[in-house]
Amino acid sequence: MNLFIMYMAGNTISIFPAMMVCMMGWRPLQALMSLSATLKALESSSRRALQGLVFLVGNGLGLALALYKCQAMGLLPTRPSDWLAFVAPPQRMEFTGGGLIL
Amino acid sequence: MAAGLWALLLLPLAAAVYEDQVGKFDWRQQYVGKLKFASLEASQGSKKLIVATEKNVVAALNSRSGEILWRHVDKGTPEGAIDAMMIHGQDAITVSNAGRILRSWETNIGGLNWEMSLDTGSFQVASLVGLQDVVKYVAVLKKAAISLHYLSNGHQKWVEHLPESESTQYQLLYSHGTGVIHVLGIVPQSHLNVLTFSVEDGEITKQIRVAAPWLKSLNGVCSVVGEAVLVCMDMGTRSLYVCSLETEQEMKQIPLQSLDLEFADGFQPRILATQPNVISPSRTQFFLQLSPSHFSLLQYKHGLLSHLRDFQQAALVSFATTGEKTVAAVLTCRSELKPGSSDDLHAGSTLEDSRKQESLTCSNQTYNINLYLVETGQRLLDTTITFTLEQSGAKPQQLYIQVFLKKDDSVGYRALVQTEDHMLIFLQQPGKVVWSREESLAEVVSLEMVDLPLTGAQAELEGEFGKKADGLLGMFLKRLSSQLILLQAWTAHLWKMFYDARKPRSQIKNEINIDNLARDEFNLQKMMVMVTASGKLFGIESSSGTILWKQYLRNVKPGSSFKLMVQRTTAHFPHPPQCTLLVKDRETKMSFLYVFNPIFGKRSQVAPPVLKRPILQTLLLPIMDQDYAKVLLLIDDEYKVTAFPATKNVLRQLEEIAHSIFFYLVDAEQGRLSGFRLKKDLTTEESWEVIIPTEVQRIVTVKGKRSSEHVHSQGRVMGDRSVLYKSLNPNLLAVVTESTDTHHERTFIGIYLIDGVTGRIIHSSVQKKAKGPVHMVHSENWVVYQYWNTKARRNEFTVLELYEGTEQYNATAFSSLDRPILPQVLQQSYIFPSAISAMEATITERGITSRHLLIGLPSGAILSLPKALLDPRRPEIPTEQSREENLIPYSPDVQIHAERFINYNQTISRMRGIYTAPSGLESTCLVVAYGLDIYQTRVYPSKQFDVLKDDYDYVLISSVLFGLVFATMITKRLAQVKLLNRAWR
Repeated sequence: MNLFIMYMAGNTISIFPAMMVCMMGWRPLQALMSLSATLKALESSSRRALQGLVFLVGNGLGLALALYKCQAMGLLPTRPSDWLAFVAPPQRMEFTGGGLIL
Repeated sequence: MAAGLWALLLLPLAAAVYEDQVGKFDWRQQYVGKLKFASLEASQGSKKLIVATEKNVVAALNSRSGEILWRHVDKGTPEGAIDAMMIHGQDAITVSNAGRILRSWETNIGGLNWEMSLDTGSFQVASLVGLQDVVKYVAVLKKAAISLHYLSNGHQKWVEHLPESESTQYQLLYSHGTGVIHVLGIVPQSHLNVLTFSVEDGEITKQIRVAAPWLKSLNGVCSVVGEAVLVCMDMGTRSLYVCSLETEQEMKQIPLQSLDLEFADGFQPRILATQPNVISPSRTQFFLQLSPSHFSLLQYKHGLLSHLRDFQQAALVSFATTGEKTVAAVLTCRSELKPGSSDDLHAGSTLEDSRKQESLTCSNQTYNINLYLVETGQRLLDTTITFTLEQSGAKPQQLYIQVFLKKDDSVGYRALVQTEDHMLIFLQQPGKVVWSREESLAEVVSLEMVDLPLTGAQAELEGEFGKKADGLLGMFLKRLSSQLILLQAWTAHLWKMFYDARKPRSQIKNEINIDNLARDEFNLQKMMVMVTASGKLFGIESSSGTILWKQYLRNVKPGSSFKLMVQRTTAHFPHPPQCTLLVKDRETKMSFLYVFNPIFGKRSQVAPPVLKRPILQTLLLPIMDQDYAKVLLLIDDEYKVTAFPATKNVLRQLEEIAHSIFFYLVDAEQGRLSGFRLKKDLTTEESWEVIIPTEVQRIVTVKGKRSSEHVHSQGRVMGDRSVLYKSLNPNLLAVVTESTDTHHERTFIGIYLIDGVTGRIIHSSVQKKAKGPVHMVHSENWVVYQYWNTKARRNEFTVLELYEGTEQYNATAFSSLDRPILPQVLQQSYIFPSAISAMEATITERGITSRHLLIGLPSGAILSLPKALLDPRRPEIPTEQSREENLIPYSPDVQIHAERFINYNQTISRMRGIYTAPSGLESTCLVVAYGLDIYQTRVYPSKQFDVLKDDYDYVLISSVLFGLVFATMITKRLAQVKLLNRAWR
């Protein structure tokens, strides 16, 4: 369903797609942060390690998906143009002066 | 359609001023220029004086305040030059364009009564002609013809050819209401030709020949006095010659020894006569100037020459008449006149010597004007005006007197004095300056804006950190005291704000003088240092236009070239700011430096180097000496370099970086561009040369980049989010040439982009069927120039932009010597609907704000045109990517929208230049346009993104804020009460 929403949302930056992407990134993050609580719930399970791993991978995938969406929307600063404002002007090696003879 | 709409949305909305902002940030000062002719109306109640100036302006000045009542500006070329001006009643008659145009002006409102075009022929003299007590005609004498025109409508009454006009130079015209006009011509060193025309039909009634083998020219040497008596002065025989034009045929010689008068050697004597009214004869009295400061009042009456009075120390003399009384005004120096001046502004220059002959200066600059009755030469009692000029030493040059009879029949007068530095002073008895005007500001040649110094309190704070510590307690006390001063200043400021808030804005006068001068919060107020062609320097406060200081450089000849540089800004307290002016004489080619403090106008204590050789160019280096003065390098005609300041520290630094210092010199006459490299011993060697053959084209302009320019963004973001890096070569020169062939089919202009270090031609293009004058702006990575397209008959803009591509060759350092790849050059042209007279780009502190071009139009308006409209990347067919990039689709015409005029209706006559300077606010750029007028304003190319709007509603916002805080407090209390109640329940 997430995939479908993402596909439908398109790559333009406006408030709804942005919100969706945020949610999409936030939810796996939240889940990962409450990892210990989830693991505690799984304590009784016999295949605890596997289930935990699946949970981790699933959320990781969700996060990756959100990142991919961000990238597709151009929200990740991965291109030189994103860092253009921080490019310092090159230092001048020579000094020139003059003009029309006075 | 959609694209067009898109484009409209993208266009930055023009920010015109609101009605209540008029005059808030901007001001305009209007000038007329140096006087050529002036007429002061001869009655006590008159309120105006009519002037015609060397700037081809006819104007009326209010004699009470000096303001311009009306002003007419003719063409700035010799075509508009005013040759003569005569006043008749309410009308002013002017002859202009070398005698081609005769105009009559209504002096009360400045309307044109009539205009007549005259035949060609070099203009000699014009005069009003009266007939039987009425002045009805104006006579215009040219080289080969004389014409008479009606004063009422300008129609020609008659025109007559002058006999023997090839050999005879007709130079004088005289009539005194008797129905005849005398025309005097001269065959040099042979004889005089005296023609007498009848006013009625232009017939020559009499023609006589007077032998005068000693006479070369009539101008100044001869004059007509009394009833048509010609008086001439001869140097050779040291005698006066007189001849009655109506009765005699020979000149009578009167040796000057008989009057006990002596000539000064080498001085061309002059005769000054007066004819108060053209329908009555001239006065029989006249002035004879024997030396620059020696005048004699003489009288020739009934065939007798008598000496009335001698004026030994007179600087200027003038006649004036009211009713029946004619008086002579004599301007004398209070102390003695001294030849030459030794305390001059620079020592050991040849400039002075040539001037010595005429320079008679008054040591304490105090002058007297006295009136003398011409009939007797008696001094009129209580008619002395005493006035003092500034010490800078400009001497009076012209004197005009307005005389009137007071109620008790005594003579009262006012005087208009024009000094050498083009200042006009209007004086009243007994020496009160009614007003003065600085007319040299009509020709500003160079201009710089300098930051104002910090206030006393701020300086105190700065000083605290600058000094060495003297104990913990001492520092603490010092800090306390400076904080106290700050508090004091703040309360004073608040009080003033409160006080001013109650008055309407028009009444608030912010008196700015040199003592309370201080930088404002955003550094919007600066000191404008102006250099004028007359050699007078001005310090003008930029927010109000008040002249805070002026300094006249006496030894500057007209036509000198100037270069003004700021060596030290105000940022280095306690070192005073320092400006250096290089003045180069056009004839002798000698140069000198004048170093001064731009805030107070005082000459600096620092001694500039004596320049023995003519200086070709200068270079202001960013390196500083230990006193924080930037190093100025001067290259002379032997290609040797002089450094200023030349301390050991500086020379050591120079030695270290000499290999990276380059000069480029452009010799337009020989079509040669050459580059020089500095060597360690401060000599240079030529490193490159580019010859542009002068037979085909000539160099008209060369423009480098402004060294103070900051470019914030190193590239442009493309639609696909890659970067197109700008080619920001700080050493790049843009050279414009024009073809010598001006035929409209073959004329062209050439554009060369040359690297100033290596001489490499980065781009060159020839625009065929294009003609100058070319105006150009060179900034960042672009060049914009404007020219006339002779084929399509329209003005066009072309923009060139240079890009490195999507990869930067070297991101950390720029060296012209290491540039293997040539930049990509993009180019586009646009049609502009008007010619332009000046062009400049806005500049801001950090270069973040988008750039606008400020275009001065001949109409006097300044158009602020976004640079985004002149962008060679504007696509012809808009694509997804170009839309992403916010590029406006290409359309060939750039329109002039009146709301983009930054000076609304404050037009600037004959604009010659626009100067821009950054302010402390990134959004704001200060603009000064100069020409005949001076206009100062601020522009916000990207609107005021960093300050609150002028009409920001502080009251509403703060009341809402307080209201909310209050409401929160109340609700909090209520909630508490409620909680408590619930707990009890």
